[in-house]
Amino acid sequence: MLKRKPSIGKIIFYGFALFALLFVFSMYFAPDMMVAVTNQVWALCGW
Amino acid sequence: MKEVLIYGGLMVTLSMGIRHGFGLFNLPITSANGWGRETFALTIALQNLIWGAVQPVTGALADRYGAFKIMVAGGILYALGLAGMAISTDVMNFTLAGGLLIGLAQTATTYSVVYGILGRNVSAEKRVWAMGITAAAGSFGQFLMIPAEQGLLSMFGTQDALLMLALMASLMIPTAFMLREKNFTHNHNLGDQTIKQALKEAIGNPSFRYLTLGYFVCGFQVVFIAVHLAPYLKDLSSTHPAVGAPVVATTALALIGLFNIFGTYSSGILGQRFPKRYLLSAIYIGRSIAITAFLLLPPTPMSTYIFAAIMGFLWLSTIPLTNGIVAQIFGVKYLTMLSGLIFFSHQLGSFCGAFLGGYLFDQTGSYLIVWEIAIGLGVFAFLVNLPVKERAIHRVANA
Repeated sequence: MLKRKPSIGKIIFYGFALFALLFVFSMYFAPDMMVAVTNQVWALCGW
Repeated sequence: MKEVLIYGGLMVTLSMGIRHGFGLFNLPITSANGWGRETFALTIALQNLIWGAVQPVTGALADRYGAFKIMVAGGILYALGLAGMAISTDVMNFTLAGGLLIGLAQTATTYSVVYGILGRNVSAEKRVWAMGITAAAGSFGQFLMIPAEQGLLSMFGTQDALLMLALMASLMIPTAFMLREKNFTHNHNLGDQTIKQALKEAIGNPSFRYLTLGYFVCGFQVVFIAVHLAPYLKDLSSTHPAVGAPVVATTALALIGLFNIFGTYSSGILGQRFPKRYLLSAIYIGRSIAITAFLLLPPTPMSTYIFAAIMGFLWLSTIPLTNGIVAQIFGVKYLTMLSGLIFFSHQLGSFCGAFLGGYLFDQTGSYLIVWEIAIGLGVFAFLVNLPVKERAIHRVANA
C-alpha cells in the first residue's frame, strides 16, 4: 500500500513549528537568561 | 472541534506559561522590597496549595454552571493577582495577590477546566489525542514564557513586567468567550447523577484510587526535579566542575521544556492507540530508570542533558492519559471535578517533592535519599497503574 505524501501546507507548518521551538530554545542562552538561572540556583540553595 | 482545540490550547498556554516564569521574579522582588526569600517561597507554596485544594470545588462549579463563566472569573483573578504583585509593597498584600488570587485563577483556567470542555465537545475516539494537543500547548507555554518573562524583566523592570503579564493574562477573558458552550445545560443529556453521587462513585472505585496515587508520584518527581535539579548540579561542581557551570543548568532546563512538548503530544497520540494504563506505567518506570542511570553514571554535562531530555519527554505526559482514563471510566459530566480531585493528589505530591527535597538535604547534607524516594515512588506508580480498569463503569456504558 502506498503511503500518502504529506501536503505542502503540512510540511510548512511542521517546519515553522520546528523553527519556533529552536528559536525559543536559543533564547535560553541569552546572557540575561544565564544570569537569571544562576541567580535562581543561588536562591534555591538558600531555601 | 478545531475551535475548542485552538482556544483551549491558548487558554492553557497563557495560564500555565505565565506562572512558570515566576521564579525569575524571586530575587528582583525580594531584594527591591528588602524581604527574605521565604516571602516569595511562601507565596508560591500558597499558590500551589490553593490550586490543588480548590481545584475540585472549581471543577464542580464548572460542571454545574459551565466552564465559560469560571474561566472568565479566572482570567479576571489572574490579571488582578499579577497587578497586585506588581504594586504590593508589603508582604501580606503580595502573598494574597500572588498566592490566593493567582492560586484561585489557576483552578479556573488550567487543564481540568479545559479538559471538561474537550470531554463534552470531542468524540471519545479523539478525546485523548485532543487532550494531548492541549497539554502540549500548555507545555509550549511553559517553555516559551521563561525566556519571554526574562526578556520583559530585562527590558522593563519588575513592576512593568508584571503589569504586562497582567495584560497578557487578561487575554484569557476573550479566550473564555470563544470557548463558550452554546448548548451547555447542567444535565446536557449526560444523566441525572448528582455531584455527591459522582464523588461517592469515584472514591469507591479502585481504578480512581490507583490513578490518584499515581498522580501523587507524578507531582513529587516533577517538582522535586524542577526545584532541586539545579542546586544538585551546583553541589556536584565541587567534585565535577564541568557539571556546575551555569550553562549546564540552563541547558537542562531548556531541554526539559522542549522535550516536554514532544512528550505530551506523543502521549496523546499513543493514548488513542494503546491501553493508557500501560503507557502510564511505562512513564513512571521510565522515570525511575532515568533517575537511576543519572545517579549511577559519572556526572557529565552530556549525561545531564540526556537525563533532562528523557525526563522532559516524560514530564507532563501523564496528564492526557490520566484524564483520558477518568473520562473513559466515569463519563464527562463531572470530568472537571474528578480531574480536579486527582489533581489535588498531584499537588500534595508536588508539595512533598519540593519540601522533602529541601528538608532531607538540610538533615543529611545530600539529595541522595530524595532521589531514592523518587525512584521507589516511580516503581510504586508503575505497579499501581497496571490494575487500572479502563472500561466504562456500568452507569456510563448503559447511558
